[in-house]
Order: sequence, then C-alpha cells, then structure tokens
Amino acid sequence: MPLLECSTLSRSFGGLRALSDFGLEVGSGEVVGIIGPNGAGKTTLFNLISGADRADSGRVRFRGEDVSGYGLDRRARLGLVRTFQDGRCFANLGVEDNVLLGAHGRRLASRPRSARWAIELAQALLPLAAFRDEERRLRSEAATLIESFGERLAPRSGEKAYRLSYANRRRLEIARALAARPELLLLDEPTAGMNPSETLELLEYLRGLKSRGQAMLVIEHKLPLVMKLSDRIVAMDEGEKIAEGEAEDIVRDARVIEAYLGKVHSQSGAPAREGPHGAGPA
Amino acid sequence: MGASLQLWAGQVLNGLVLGNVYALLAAGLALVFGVARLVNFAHGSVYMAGSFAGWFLVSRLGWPLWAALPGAAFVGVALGLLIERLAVRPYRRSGGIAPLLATLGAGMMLDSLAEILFSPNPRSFPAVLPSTRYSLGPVSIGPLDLLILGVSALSAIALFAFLKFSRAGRGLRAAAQDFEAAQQMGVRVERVGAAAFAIASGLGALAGALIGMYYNFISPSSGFEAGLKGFTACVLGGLGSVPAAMAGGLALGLGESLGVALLGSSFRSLISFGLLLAVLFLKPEGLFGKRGGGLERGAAVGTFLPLRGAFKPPRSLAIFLAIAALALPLVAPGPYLLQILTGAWISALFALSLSFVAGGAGVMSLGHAGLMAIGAYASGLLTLKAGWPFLPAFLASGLVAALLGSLLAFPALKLKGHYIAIAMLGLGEIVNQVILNWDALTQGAMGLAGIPAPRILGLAITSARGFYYLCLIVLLGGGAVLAAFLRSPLGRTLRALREDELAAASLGIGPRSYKSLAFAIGAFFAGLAGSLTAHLYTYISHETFGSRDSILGLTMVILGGLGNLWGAVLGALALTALPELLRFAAQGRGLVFGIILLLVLRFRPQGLLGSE
Repeated sequence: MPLLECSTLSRSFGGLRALSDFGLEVGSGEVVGIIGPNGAGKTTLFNLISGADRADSGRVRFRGEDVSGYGLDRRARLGLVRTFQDGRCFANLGVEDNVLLGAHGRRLASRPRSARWAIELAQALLPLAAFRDEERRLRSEAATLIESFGERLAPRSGEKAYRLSYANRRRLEIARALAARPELLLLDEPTAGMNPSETLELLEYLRGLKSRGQAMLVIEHKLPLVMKLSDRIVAMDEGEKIAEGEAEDIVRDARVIEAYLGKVHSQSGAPAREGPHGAGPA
Repeated sequence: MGASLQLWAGQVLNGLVLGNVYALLAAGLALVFGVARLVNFAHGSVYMAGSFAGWFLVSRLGWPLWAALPGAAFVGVALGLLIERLAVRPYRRSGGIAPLLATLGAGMMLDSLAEILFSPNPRSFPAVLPSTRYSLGPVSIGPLDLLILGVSALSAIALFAFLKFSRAGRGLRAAAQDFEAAQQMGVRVERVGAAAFAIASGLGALAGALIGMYYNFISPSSGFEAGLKGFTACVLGGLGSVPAAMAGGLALGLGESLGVALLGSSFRSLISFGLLLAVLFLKPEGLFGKRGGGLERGAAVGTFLPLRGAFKPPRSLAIFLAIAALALPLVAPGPYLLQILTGAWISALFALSLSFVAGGAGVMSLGHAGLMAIGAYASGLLTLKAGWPFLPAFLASGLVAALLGSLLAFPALKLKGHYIAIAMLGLGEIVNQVILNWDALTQGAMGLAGIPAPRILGLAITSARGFYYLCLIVLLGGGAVLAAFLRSPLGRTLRALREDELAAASLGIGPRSYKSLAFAIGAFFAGLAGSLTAHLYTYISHETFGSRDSILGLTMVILGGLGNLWGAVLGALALTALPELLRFAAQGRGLVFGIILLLVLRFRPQGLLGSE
C-alpha cells in the first residue's frame, strides 16, 4: 500500500484549469520530486494534498485512509505535514516556540479525544509533574532539531522569528515540520531565496533525512537538487503530468525539455513554441 | 381577505421604502470597501449626522425640503472627507486592523459630538409633507413614500452614471479592481479614496435624513444600529459590489417589513441581525456574490498591530501593586474613591477578558459586552428567580457566558478578517435584542430590578469597602488565571493561530476549536464581570451592556497594549477611574476616547505598555 495515493485530482480557478486528472503515488521512505515551469500547477497540487484547498474532483488517500474531506489540521495530525513556499514562520514567536508548535499534533495524540480541551486548561493551571515532563521532553527535542541545522540556526534559538534571515526562516520552517515527526513531509520549494552554498547545505540536510527513511514530496525549481535528492521525479506542465521516472530519464524526456526550453525561447523573444500544448505563456 | 391583502401590500411597500434607504446606506459601505478594502465603521455615525443635519436645516433654519436634503447630503460629504483625511489615510500603511479600529474611533467621536451639540435625547422630525394617502389598488401610498422612493432611485442612477461614464468614476472602478495597478497607471488613488468616502458619506447622510423623516425620530445613538443594518445589507448582497449591496438593501428592507408583520415590531432589529448572522454563516459571499477561489477571505488576517516592547513588571512590583490596592480601603478618605475604583476593577476584568481573546488568540471580539450581558442576566435570574445563593450563581454566570458565548460565536469563528469583525459586532447586538424580546425569561424592556446583594459565608456585602474587595479579588484571580493561560502551551498555540492561521493549521492546530476555547475562556471572565455589575447596580436591562461598552473596552485594551494583561488594567483605570476623578463631563467622554484611540493607533500602536 503506498503512503500517499492521489487519483484524478482536478481543480479550476474560474475558467482556468490549474490541475486536471492528476494522479500521484508516494511510497514509504520514498522521495519524490515535482518539477515544472511556473504555473504548471505544482503548488495547487500541494494545496490539494495537504488540505489547504479542496479538489473539484478526485481523491487523496493517505496511509490507506480517504482524507479528501479532511482539513489541513486533521491531515497534519495524521502525519501529512507541509511547508510553504513563502516561509510562514510565526514571526512574533521565538525560534524555540516555533519548533515546539510543530509537536502540537503529537501532544494531542497522546491524550483522550474527549478530554483534550480540559487537559489544555489543566496544563496551564496545575503544576503536575506529567505536564512538566512532557514540556521538558518536547523542549529538548526542539533543541536537538534546532541544533541539527548547526551554526546557522542554533545560535539564534532565543530570538524572535522575524529577526531571522530569509534562508533561516526556511530552515526554521523545516525544523518545525520535522518536530511533528511527519510520515510524509511536503516541501514547497525549500531552497527558494537561498544562495548556491546554502542550497547545497540544505540538500545535504535533506539527504540526511532521506537516509533515515523520511518520505518526502519536494517541489523544486533547481533541477540539480531534485535530481540528487529524488528517487523518482514527476514533471508537470499546465496542470498535467508530462513525465515520470528516474532523474536520468526525466532530463532526456522530449516533453520535459520542451516544457522548460520552450519557455526559455518564448521568454527570450524567439517565436513561441508549437506543439500539443499550444503557445507558451507570454 | 381584502384587509389581509391590504396589510401585506402595505408591508411590501414599507419594505420597498425602507429597502431603498438601506440600499443607499449599503451602496456607500460597498463603495468604500471596494476602493479601500475597509469596512467603514464610522458610516452609521455619518448617517446619524445626516439625520441631525436634515432636522436642523428644516426645523431650526426653516429650509424647504428640496434644499434641506441636498444640504444633509453635503454635510455627509464634508464629514466623509474629514474622516478619510483624519481617520483613514494616516492609517493606510499601518496594515492589519488598525484602519478599521480608526473608523470605530471616528464614529465614537461623531456620536459623542452629536450628544454634546444636540443633547443625548431623541427628537422628533417635524412633518414637512402632507399626510395625504393615495390609493393604488390595495396599496395606500403617501407623499413621503414617493419622495423616498424617488430620491433613492435618482441617487442610485446618479451613482451608476458617475461610476460608469465619468473619468473620476472610472478611476474609482479601477482602484476597486486593483489598487496598485491603478496607482501605476496614473490614477490618483488618494483622491479616488477621498472621492469614495465623500460619495459614500453623502449617500449615508441622505439616508439618515430620509429615515429620520420616515420614522419621525432622530437620536444621537441611532448610528450604531444603522451601521449594522448597512453591513447586513452589504453582506446580504455581497461585500464589495455596489449593485449587489443595493440589492441586499432592498432584500433586507423587504425581509424586515414582512418579518415585522409576522412577529411584531419589537423584533425588527432581531430579524435583521439574525439575517446578518445567517448569511455570514451560511453564504458569506452573499446572495448575489460569487464564491471566492482564494484561500483567505478578507484582508485583515494575522497580527493586527505591531508587537514590540511588552513591559512586564517584575514580580516584586506586581506584588507591591496588588498589596497597595488591597490596602487602599484602610487609608481611603471616603467611599467615593472606593466606588470609582470598584467600577474600574470590573472594567479591568472585562478588558482582561477582551485582551485575552483579541490579543492572545486574535479573535476580534467587537461585541464583547454581549457576553457581560449574558453573565449579568444569568446571575440576576438565578439569584432572583431560582433563589440561588450568590457564589454558585456567580460561578454559573461565567459558565453560562462561556457556553452560550462560544456556541453563538462558533459559526462566526470560521470567518476571517472583516467578516468576523462584523459578525462579532452583530452577536453583541443580538444578545441584547434577545434579552429585549424574551419577555417570559428576562422581563423584556422592564429589565431586572432588585438583584440581591452578594452574600458570602452568611455575610452580605453592601458597603463600598465590601464591593471594592470582592471586585479586586476577582480581578486579581482572573488576571492570574489568564496570565497562566498565556504562559502555558495553550497560550503558545493561541499565539500561533493569531500570527498565521494557515501555518498553524498545517501543524495540526484546529483553528476553530482553539479559537472557541479561547473565546470561551474570555467569555467566562466577561460573564463574571457582568455578574459583579448586576449585583453592584441591583438593576440591569438590555441597555446596560451595549455596543459602546464593547468599543470602550477595545479602546482600553489598545491603549494599554493588545494582549498585555497589565496594559488592560492600566487602560481600564485610565478610561474609567481617571475621568471620574477629574470630574470630566460624561457627555464629552466619547469624543476624548475617540481621540485617544486615534492617537494611540497612529503614534503608539503597540499601546502604552506594549503588546505581546
């Protein structure tokens, strides 16, 4: 049974079909890269998988459970955790608090469903050892996660998130998502806004995660990174899957080359490409 | 049969007439929302000013109607320009909810100014048209009906022609579509914004003058309800589109008139605010609007105001202040100071609760006084009618407020930005309308009198000193509990929701459950504050806890620093005890509070003690 199974997902905005009849599978411990030009529908796909948006039609199954009707928070509690393209940290909260919040779903999972709100209140008012121990354990886990990013993040553990650099916010967001111990980590352009050396560092970090069996679905523009990280790559264009396979096959695929290079041509003023997908965007 | 047909036809006509006026009111709100992405909470007060302008021109200056109506509209235009210049433009860059709060402040100032100029008492509008009626089939129609229908139709046509054909109108429409693009294409957006406010306020003032004539009644406090009716019409039709909002106005007028025919006229407001909430909950895009494709609806999401430099008094200072407050009755010269401070402690408890909900969890609870009303009635009814002793009734008042409050708010909590602000405003008003109309339980307009003095361990609390201690101890306890919540993992979770709801949800935090929990906690303490008020005053009615108290509470919280509990206490002391001690005239307070709100938002948005 695959970890994640999407079938015939479609989503339109007004008259624009952002995604049509899209299917995708991710297995346990697998790393799948998603590539495609701007407007190919990658982020729409992410929103549908994570529950930030609902599909017009199609199904999302996670660990065998149909999660199509679940919201973002419920899917996250099942282990489907995402990051955002624009690095959405809690700006006025400290770095440590940000990471601690990632463990929210696990805190809840350890409690009886019907008494969760009462326990939340009790935790604030009663000085019970169990609560203190839980908080201490989560804090030490958060510290380990922050330290896993080494000199970049560790010295800033006490700062508010808005004081972090852009690249550090991306790291913090990943640390926060990892605090949830996700079954499947969805990364939306994790290296956007990073310079080449920072990108390389993050690649090594993600490969480390992969070697420990972390399943990931990664949207990324930087082809070399996706190729080095992914077990399998899915190429998208105009809301459809145009190719799927291992890295070497994907970069040789005629439609992928066309989707990427066709765009380059039209941007540089050369005649728009022709072919089954029509003219490229101006 | 004939009589009933006549009755219904008459109600339809009433509905059309009212609906046309609501349409004028709503068109202005929609115009401003379209251009400035701002719900103008001062709109109702401009309407009120228009009704007074019309009355003044007709009855004091003896102007004929054909001159007085444009005159009232002109006053509205002038006020609109003033509001735009002083309460909107300076806050454009502040982002978040600051501009919305600034219009609330401007509205508060206008209401207060009208009370100073014309006294708080309602007045009747002199009859300016003959009371003859013409029969049209089953309908009997008077000159006033015709005038209102004619004036509003003409105004609507003029508005559409202006938007469609004039250069300025084209600029307005462009700015409504895409503010920045319009700016880059050379549209002078500041002028466009000012024009939108001018036109909107002119229409609003005209509506005020017409309704004043229609009901033969004007009052300085009519603005709030009118504003809420305007929002209702807008939301009913679809926020942001002028034609849809006007259609919503007509629908509201008809719905209200037919509802009144079925249920009775005291239900008028309940019907329209019930309609408001029903639409917000069931179809927030409005009856005629399109469902948005975006993930976030409304502009004001996330942190309202910049958070920085929260002042946390050291433990020693906190303990010293608490002891000083506890020791004060021993040295106080007489009961006067204690009575004033007792009121301030109750206000502070209310402000703490609001600060926790609005600052801690980011839920803009604009109708917070409604929760106080629930608590006050719960406590009053339990002691008066069920014969409960004070302490159980006191605790029950908090629980009832928490339960009813969060049940009422739960549907609203899925809304975002401006919608939640409007829904919360409506909630506060609905509580009072239900109290007014549920005679069997609440004694309706008569109110509850003779609420017994609190009795604790067989000791009746009747002295100023006794009440002082009761309220202070509840305040200290409430403050300690709320502070513990804010420090705990729950507080962390709520702050995350306030900062970024989508990101919080992506970590498994259920936004609605946590907001409901925060709201219930806040409501509990607001309910306690209501109970204390009820037993202190011994009399409460549907007017004891109104929208003004909600807005005053908000001003306290922002003055002290949103989310800062010490700030809430300071704000409450500054706005309740200080004016009493300085013997500042009651009528001018709204004006001063409005100015304070505007100044704080402009120059120290984090409040005196900083927000966190």
